[in-house]
Amino acid sequence: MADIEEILKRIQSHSGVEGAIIATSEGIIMRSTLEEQITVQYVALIQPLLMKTKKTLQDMDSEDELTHLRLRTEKNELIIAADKDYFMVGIHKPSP
Amino acid sequence: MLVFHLKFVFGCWDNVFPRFALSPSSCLSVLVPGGYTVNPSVMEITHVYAKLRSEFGRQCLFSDRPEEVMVDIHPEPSLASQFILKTRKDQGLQACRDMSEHQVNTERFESNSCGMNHVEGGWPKDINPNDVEQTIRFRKKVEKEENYINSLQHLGSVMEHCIKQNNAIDIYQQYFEEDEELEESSELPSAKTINILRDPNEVKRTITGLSWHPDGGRKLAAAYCNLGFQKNPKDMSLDSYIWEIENPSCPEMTLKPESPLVCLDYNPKDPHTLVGGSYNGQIAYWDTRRGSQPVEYSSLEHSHRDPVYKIIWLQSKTGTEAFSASTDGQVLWWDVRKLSEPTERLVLDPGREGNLDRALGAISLEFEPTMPTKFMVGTEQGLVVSCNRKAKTAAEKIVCTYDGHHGPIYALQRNPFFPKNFLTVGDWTARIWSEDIKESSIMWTKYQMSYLMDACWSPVRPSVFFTVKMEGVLDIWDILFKQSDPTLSVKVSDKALYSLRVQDNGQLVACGSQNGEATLLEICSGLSTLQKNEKSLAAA
Repeated sequence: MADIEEILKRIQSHSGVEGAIIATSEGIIMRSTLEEQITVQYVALIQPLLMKTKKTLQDMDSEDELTHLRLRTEKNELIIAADKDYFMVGIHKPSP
Repeated sequence: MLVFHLKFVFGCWDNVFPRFALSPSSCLSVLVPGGYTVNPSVMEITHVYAKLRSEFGRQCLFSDRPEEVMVDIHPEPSLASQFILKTRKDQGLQACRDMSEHQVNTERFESNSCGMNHVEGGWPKDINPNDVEQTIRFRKKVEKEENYINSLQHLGSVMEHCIKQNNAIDIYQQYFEEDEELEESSELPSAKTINILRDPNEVKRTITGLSWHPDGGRKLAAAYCNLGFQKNPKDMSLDSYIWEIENPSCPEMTLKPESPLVCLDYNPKDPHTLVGGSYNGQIAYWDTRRGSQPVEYSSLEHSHRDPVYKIIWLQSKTGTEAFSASTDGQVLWWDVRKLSEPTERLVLDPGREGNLDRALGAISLEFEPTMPTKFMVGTEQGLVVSCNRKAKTAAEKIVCTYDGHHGPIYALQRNPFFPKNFLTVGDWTARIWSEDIKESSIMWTKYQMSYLMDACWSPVRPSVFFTVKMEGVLDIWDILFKQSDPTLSVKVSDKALYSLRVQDNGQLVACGSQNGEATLLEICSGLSTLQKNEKSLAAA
């Protein structure tokens, strides 16, 4: 329990991090530093994307595995670290 | 003594004896008198071969001997007369299957956009997501799993690594500025149909007027009307539509006049207002924010007596003035705030007397925002009348006339880059005139196969203009490139094309046809982007 708190705190301590979300691969939100509505929207949209990406990679090379997915947009960057059962989303706004 | 006959019937071996290859050049050593005879009637060669009985079973001894011509058959020229010499033909052969190219267009599909409501999901069946206690319990349970903590730690470190990377260097930075592209497009000119906007009613009407939305041109307003004299079927709808180009399945808005609209125009200053001229001569004014009914109508007594063929907004301080032309011979000025009466009236009388009986019917109008006092009218009789608005008396209003066409002038437009030159289209030609030269046009196309119905300059390229014809063809002319023929001819539809408008960015062209279809075409970049010295070349 404390470890998880520590992990989240460490991530948030970096400059530019807007928020972090931890969820299971089915979409159940475990912890989040953002408010609920936004978190629900993020998880609901990212979870299928993650599933699709994993499936795609597996089709291409069955031994390969997804480590993380970076989604750079104009305003910020979404870093999605994925595991077999859980995934973590970090919203980062890098300074130019 | 046995005599064996070996018969050759023209290359066909007829062996009776054990097989050994016998060619005319080698022969058996034993050649007992017999020799050979040629029987020309049957074309047989008989070779008699005799052997002593006692010598049977002995191996054969072969020996070579020089060739002997057995038969010499010369070609008979008389036979050649039975054959005809065929012309030589070159035919390429390729060892592959015959293939043909087809183009298929998919069925029009209707798409709908709808929103999605996100609700938290993924919970196992026995847990109700709304019940807070249950969810907390579930969460606590998950958190206790060892797997959870381990994987999270790993994920956390991955995440941190990425974040640190981002903070250190902007990895998406553009290192080299892209070189400016200086290519001269040498591609073939082409136009591609992007979309067809169809009249949703059962009874199809002609698209007589088109106007692009002034702000970016994502919307197109089309006026639908059946121009045939008294040909309106009973259940013909009176509506005109505003279409959004992205959504061809249904119009964005309907405009409901009392009588079908012949022409309409978006106000260049205020993209929400439109003015339209209808078949019965009235002018109507719409505000798209206020709905489909016209906000105001001009009164019947003061309007035109014939269909209003063209209406254009004027440049004015208030942004509310427009003028219209009709075949009853009048050009009327209106202030849309007060449509009960026109503000000004001009009768197109060549005798300059203001006599309505002798007036010429007007079909097209031209107004150029940079020259607000002058305007031009194209008439049914083939005359272009250039007028000055500021003149005090009716007589002085008509400045000069240009006579050129044999039939009604369906389109009239000044070149947006060189306002002294204007383009007229009527009968079977398109002509370019210069204002100062009154006798005849400076340039004209040769007589086309069918009637030209509308024309437009390209707003982007000073030497390019578009025309549409009765046979459904859109022509793109580039006067710098080729003056005798259109640079590109595109067959847009089987029905006649009645109207044409180019979008402000020069790339999209909308043509309206007789059966109510507006086709949107995208012109290739070679015809829509300005070339370097075009302006100066065109000025020459």
